[in-house]
Amino acid sequence: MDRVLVGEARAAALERCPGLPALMIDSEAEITCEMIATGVFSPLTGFLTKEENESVLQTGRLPDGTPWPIPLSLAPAGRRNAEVLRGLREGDEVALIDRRGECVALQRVNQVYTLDREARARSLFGTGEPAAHPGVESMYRRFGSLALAGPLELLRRPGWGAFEAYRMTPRETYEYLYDRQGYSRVAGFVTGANPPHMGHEHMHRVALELVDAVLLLPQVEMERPEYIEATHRILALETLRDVYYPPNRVVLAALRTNYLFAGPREAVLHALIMRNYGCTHALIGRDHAGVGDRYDMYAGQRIFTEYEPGELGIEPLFFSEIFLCTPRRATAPERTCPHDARYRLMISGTGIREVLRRGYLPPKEICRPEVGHVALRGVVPKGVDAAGRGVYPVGQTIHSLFPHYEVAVRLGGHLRPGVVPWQALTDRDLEAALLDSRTHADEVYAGVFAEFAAAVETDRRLAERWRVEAREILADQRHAETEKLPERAPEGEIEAGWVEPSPGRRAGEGSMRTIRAIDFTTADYPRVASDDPALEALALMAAGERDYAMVVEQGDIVGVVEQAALVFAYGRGELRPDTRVAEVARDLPWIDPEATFDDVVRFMAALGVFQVCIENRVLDDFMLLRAIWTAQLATAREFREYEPPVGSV
Amino acid sequence: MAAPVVGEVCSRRYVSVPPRRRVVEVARMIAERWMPCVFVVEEGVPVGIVTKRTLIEDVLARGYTGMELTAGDIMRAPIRTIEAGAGLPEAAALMAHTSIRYLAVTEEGRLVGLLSDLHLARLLPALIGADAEPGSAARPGSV
Repeated sequence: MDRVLVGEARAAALERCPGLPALMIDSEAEITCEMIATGVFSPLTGFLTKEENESVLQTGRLPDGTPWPIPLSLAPAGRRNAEVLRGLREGDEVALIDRRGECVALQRVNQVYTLDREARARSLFGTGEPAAHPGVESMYRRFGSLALAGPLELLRRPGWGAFEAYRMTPRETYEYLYDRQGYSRVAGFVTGANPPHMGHEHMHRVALELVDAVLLLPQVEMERPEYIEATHRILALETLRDVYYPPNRVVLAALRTNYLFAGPREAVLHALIMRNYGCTHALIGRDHAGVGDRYDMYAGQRIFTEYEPGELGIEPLFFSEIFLCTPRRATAPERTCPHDARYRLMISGTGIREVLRRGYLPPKEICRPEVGHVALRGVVPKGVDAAGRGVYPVGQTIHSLFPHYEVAVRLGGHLRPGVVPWQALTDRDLEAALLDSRTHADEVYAGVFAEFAAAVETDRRLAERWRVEAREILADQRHAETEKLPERAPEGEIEAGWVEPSPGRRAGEGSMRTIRAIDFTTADYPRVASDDPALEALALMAAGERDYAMVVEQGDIVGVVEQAALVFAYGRGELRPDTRVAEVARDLPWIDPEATFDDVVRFMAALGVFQVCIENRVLDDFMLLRAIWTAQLATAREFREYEPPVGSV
Repeated sequence: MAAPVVGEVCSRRYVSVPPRRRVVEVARMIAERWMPCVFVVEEGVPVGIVTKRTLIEDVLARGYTGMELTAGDIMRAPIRTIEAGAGLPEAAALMAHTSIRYLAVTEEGRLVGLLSDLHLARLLPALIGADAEPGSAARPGSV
């Protein structure tokens, strides 16, 4: 579609202009005229009629069923414009002139109708209150009550000022992408108010894996005072393209459409615009074209289900919220990452913008330093917004980027005793969170790796010397402790003997490393002889409420037969009614009578046994665990003091 | 009379904890209630098991107190399961083959009980026909 007049046709039109009724239009309408004429809004050839407007608002389609989500209306405000509009008849030709009086376009009059601004606002933005939505505010400021519909032809393309170098029409992008570069699949990306960040980069890189090129379309007609200046946003994108993206595979073209903040509908409009620029795929993130928390985060993606596959002429690629996962050291959406918020740096464009406004570079993990530097220079003083609010609360900035800060002492750190509400956070907290992210964000994964390397690598030449030395010291200390054990338990031959139970010997104080295990042993266990039938041992176990019986020969314990061994023998098909104890018994290890609990634990773990013999007495796994965890040991003081949460069982 | 199946002899009373439960609490349950093991269950699905053995080998022998670990940290997984309708010889064969003493009993995948070596041991005389002739080993599956 090309409705830009050139050559003789343009000369003839310019001659007609002075004699035509004229409407003065603002710069935004002027740009819309250019976008219509160059095909950015194809298939539209001009501003919509009343019927078309209503159809679009009600169904998201033109009356013939063509998908079109947002009505384009020309309703220039002002008394003089209203007089001209009232005098127009169907079939008339009208000149659209800019503020300097120069003719921008000619429009054929198909219809002049009364525009119901409030109905339009409610349908499009969900509210009729100008203060509640920037799109409503803009409409009431710019639109009069009479609207003009009909096809137009462009006579003069307005200057683009600082963005002239980035001006490309759909015809030009088609020529560049398909004729010159020979691409066959291109993904489009419309970006708005905030500087490019790692979330955007994640989407671009995923797209570059799937298609031949990405067309970046930064909107430069932004009017909200808190945004980064469009000039610097586009420079930041250019830096990203030149420094971090493969040559020629990312194309930058300014998009001069007005940002409506119409959320889901605008997402569809952007997809159609991308299609018109030649894209085969549209990258749609969360809360596309949203404002504040007005729209559901993923409404801009769900709306695409209202259109049949292929109907829009472009395939949307949806992305969920993206964050930086520090253990993975990578950007990730929720559905691919198992780590919780304590390990995340969230990538919030608004948060990044607010950090920049306070004069800091955002964390390098969520915003490239080259980008942050350029964007910082484009920070617009915020002042007070339409609702009279001043600076964005610092607590919200922290909340949007560092969700861990409210619950944990540091990134990936221990939890705070209680949650700190974001309203209580100050500038000092922002500084602390930023400093923490600078210090620790890239340490998490490195720390995990270092621990594993130090623990498992057999060749230590790659390890840091100080880490090796620290581990050597640690090993020396442990060795020294072990060396002291013989002093408490002198080596010597252990006399097998019989020790009667002595309940009074239970120690009240001590630790795993000082209390002798023998004080917790028992001589009250089922006893069998090697020649006894195995099934008899089973009966004794049941009577003695044990899952084992000791094999005793001449008063000495010589082995153990376990209930499990009999079951396993049966499972292997080896158990007979006449199976003898000796066939299923095994040796029972003994340990020095001076052995401590700590020794016994290590002994049992190393040998994989459930009982040990100490001077013909027995300590089994149950007795061991009960002694430790039912607070009989002084080391169990912390267990005694620990109260499990209510309802923990 | 039909041979008993797992669902008839297993214990329908078992203790389960979520993976986030601290080991010190799990250890107390095992020690104070004389339980051999505790299932770790996540959203109704058994995902692991903590036994006396786990506590000795993975907690005490490694110098932990149990305060700093959760059941999910030390549980043995995957859990071995057997359907409630399975025969006892099959259960014993599974235990012998895997050298484990505790099986999670499931009905259509849902945890319904615990079968331990104790449950089978009680029935061993009947299972091998203790009045059978000496020297005749009863193979699992022949009961």
